[in-house]
Amino acid sequence: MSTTVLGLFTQIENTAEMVRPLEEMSVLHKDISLISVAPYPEGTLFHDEDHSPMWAVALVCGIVGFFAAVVLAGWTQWHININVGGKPTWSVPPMVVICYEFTLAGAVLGTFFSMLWWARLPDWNELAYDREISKSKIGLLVRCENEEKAAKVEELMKQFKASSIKRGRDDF
Amino acid sequence: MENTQDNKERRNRSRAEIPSLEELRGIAARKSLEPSNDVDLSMPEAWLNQYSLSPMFFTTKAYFIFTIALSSVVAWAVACWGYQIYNGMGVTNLRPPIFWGMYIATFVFWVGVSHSGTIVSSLLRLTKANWRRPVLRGAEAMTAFSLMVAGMFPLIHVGRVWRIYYMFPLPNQRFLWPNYRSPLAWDMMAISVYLTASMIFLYTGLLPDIALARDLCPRNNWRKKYLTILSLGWRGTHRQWHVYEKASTFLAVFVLLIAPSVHTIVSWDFAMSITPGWHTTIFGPYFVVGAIYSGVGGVITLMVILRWVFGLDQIIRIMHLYNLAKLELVMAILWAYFYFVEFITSWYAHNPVEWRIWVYQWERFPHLLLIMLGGTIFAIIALSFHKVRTSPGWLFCITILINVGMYIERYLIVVPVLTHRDNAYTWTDYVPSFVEASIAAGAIAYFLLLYAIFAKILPIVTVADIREGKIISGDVRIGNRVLRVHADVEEPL
Repeated sequence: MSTTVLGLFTQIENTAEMVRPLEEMSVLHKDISLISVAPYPEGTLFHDEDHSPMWAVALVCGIVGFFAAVVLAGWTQWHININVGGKPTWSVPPMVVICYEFTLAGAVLGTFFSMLWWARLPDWNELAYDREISKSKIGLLVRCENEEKAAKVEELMKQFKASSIKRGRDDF
Repeated sequence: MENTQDNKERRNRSRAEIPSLEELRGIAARKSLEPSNDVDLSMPEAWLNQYSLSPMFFTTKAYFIFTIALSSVVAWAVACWGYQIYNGMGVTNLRPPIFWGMYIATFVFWVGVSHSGTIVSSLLRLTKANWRRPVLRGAEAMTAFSLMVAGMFPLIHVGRVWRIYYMFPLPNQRFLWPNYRSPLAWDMMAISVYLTASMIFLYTGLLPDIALARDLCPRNNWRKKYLTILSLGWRGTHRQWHVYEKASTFLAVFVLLIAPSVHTIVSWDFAMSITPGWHTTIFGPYFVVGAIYSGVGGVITLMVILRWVFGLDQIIRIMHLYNLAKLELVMAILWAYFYFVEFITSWYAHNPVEWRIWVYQWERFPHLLLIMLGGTIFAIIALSFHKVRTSPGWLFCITILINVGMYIERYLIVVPVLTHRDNAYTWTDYVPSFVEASIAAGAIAYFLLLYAIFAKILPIVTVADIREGKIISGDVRIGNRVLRVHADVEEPL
């Protein structure tokens, strides 16, 4: 059963320097994560591959919104035909307006919910965390497949001046 | 009495695990910051957290007085609305042909105010303007709350508010369905979408700061529970930050696309009718520019109030007000240009019906026009001076004047056209009734009250954003000057 080790550091440099020894211990990048109170630039620890095609979700939801608007505004005009001065039943300008708004509404909702999905939120379970992180400590999470490896990681963290080390579980 | 107060304060302090507000200010004062500088990044980390969250944990006497006064005005306005609902629309001075009066003018005004919050925030985010950080939250909250206020006015205006569901595409017993050919239906859709997007944009930005407040909030504090729920279990893992940054960028783009459309559609409520004085192609962009002008003014006013009421002068610095003032100066010039273009076109064409409305405005409302135009000219001249742009007091007065002028502008768009349209025998006059004026005044109090409550229950300062700025910034000495430099960190989408 895997266990997660959380080490707290004061300096980001110490945290970043730990990556190489962890790699030598055959810890994979996907088993390492940084926890911080503010975002660190991509590549602070290592360059991570992006697995969250948010644009695709936003696009699909936008298209769904567009067609929902076509159905709503179009069907309304057909179903309740109000003939005004001999103008055609199907009026395009209202459909353009409603389609524009619904497309963007779909894209916004898609973006938001996909963010929650990929950020694995909401999750109120007790995962590896320390309130000190909010006071600007930097947390390094390492998932280890067994106790022996976890002990080695803990030892390594001590070498790299971790101010505190604790165990927990994580969802990675 | 004094002892009890001392004990209360001590207890409060130990609960919040943070020093007193005076101590927090004292730390900053000892650093003797230049007011023109950005947030001092050499300040201790704990100070930044504590100072930024201090509006949540410290309640000053001024705050209590402020909220009680606002609540009283809101209560009065609610009573007036109740009176109107009970007695019918006869208590207003809305009579044929004046179907739109103060309520619609107020609605347009608040939609306008809402405009700039998210536009400023998303533009600054997208352009990676580093000075943006302390003003983002205040601006975004302004949008959400002014939209909530604006959304009330169509309800108040229709009179029989309980029948508002006829506007929604919901099956009902009378088989009524919204007519999407009407710009009013577009308006309702646009505002609903804008409100949803603004709330999501605000909440997304809030997530890390709610988590921070959750962590710093003492265990037995009443805020702990809702902060835990609202933070959704945010921990700030690398993955979460990555996704969050990406979503923020996407949302900024979408909000930037929605905002101008909303005010354009509001302008179409007027422009799509074949009514002289309203039926003009310039109305869309003119409304959008007016809205940004009014909204940036609103952001500046609120930033100054936040500095005064919560003592956030070490976070919302003079340089932030200075930069916003420069933006406001540009918007004032743009608005004046649009007004001039609209006026000169009517003047030169001299369409008798349209020109009659202009003349009527000058004859009937010279004092209002003087405030509106004089206010803008004064703002343009005053904001050209460096001293004014760096003075919170001056900026407060000027932006209030600007928004009074913009309210008048909305009023003069709505009312004169209806009082002097079509046949001369229908011409009449309109003065808002006491009920209408009370409800419009209540709207201002309602907006400020929402804002004040928000600042008390959720972080009003974007702490995570400021911290990010700290990570990617540093001070560089060039000769005798120390300059702040920011790393250009572009997140791949």
